Amino acid sequence: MVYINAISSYFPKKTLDNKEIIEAYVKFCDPSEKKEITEEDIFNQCGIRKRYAAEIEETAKDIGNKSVEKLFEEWDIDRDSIEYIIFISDALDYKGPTTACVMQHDLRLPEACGAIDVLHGCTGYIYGLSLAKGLIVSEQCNNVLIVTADTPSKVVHPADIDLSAIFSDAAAATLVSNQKMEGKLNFEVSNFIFGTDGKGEKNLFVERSATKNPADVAWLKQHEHLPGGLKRGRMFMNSPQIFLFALRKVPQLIDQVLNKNNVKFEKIDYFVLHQANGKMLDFIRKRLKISEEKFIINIENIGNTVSATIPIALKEMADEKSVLREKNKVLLGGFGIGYSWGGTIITV
Amino acid sequence: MEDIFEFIKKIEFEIDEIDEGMLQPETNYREMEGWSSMLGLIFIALIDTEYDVTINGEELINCATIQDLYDVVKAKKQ
Repeated sequence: MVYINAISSYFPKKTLDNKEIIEAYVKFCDPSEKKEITEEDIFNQCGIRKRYAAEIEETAKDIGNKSVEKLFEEWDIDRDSIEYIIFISDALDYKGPTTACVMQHDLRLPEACGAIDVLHGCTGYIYGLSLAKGLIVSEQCNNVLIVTADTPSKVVHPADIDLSAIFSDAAAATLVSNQKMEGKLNFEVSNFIFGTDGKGEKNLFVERSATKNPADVAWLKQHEHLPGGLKRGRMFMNSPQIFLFALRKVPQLIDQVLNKNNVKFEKIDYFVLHQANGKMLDFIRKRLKISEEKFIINIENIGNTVSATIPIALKEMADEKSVLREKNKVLLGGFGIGYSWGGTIITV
Repeated sequence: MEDIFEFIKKIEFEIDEIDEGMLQPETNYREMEGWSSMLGLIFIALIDTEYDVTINGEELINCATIQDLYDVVKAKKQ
């Protein structure tokens, strides 16, 4: 058996409310394309009132490290017990070395610790859990640390207000182990389904961010007036296409996860899907005829934190004493950039 | 394909912001109170999943009334 034994999340100090997002939009948008937007419009479009932003020089690794230090302290976990670290992010520090190797040193993890990066966004947590489970079931190690951290704010142009409204920077650390631990979460991890459709490449991607068509001087000059200067690339999203993808794929994903685990729809106590956009999630919820109580939407004061949304939601549920009961089944589903999707069920 | 009144019923039922009786064939939906680009996406998504017809943003913009939208969906269905 494989268990999620502990989760901790970390949010950067700086927050941005809808007013601040609009101010940045007005300052940096093309005046000829400027639209009138109110704070309430933003909330009605995505269900978000507040999001987080890392400092300009603070990377996903840095906030990831902070979530791990919090995990060690909050759950009284011995750093020497970690045998493997999986860092999942769309914002790795380098093309080499592996960011997780640097984290081994930062976090003073044992030298005998394995370390890999997984470049995944919205489905990242599902990948992390499945890889951790694989390592444990194949008896390669017993305690795997998953760090999901992203800093999408660094690749969003403030003129792209549909993106700056949604995306948020945060991190979560998760300990996955081969046995239950007293006083810890002890969520049993079931079987996984995965899906990929690379034709979604250009519907959600960060242009000028790596080896394909890297940023040149002319491109950087165009953006040097922006805070941070978009030096790490610029995110592009075709919202209608992404919305359609999610609406077509999420019901299939849920069906497949249920079939894979031989669990009936009615037996699921909670659905925790990637927190992409509150309005979109609510529309999906209604289409699937799932009650509000069973379908977690916690995006209002957090935003879309990419790979970290699912563990952040699970941690919130675990902290809220009246939510999770023993034997509860929680369906987890990630979907988005790639296109990529995947899911599993955990039992409390 | 079902008639326009069934089509309207479905939209009113599925979309929270739109109450029963709010839409008529001649309603210009973009001038409705509470219309937003997100509602536009929801229209597209609803039509995609209910009728297996994909309309793009441009087609949606070219439609003024519910009747226009229904006609586009019906034409694509054939």
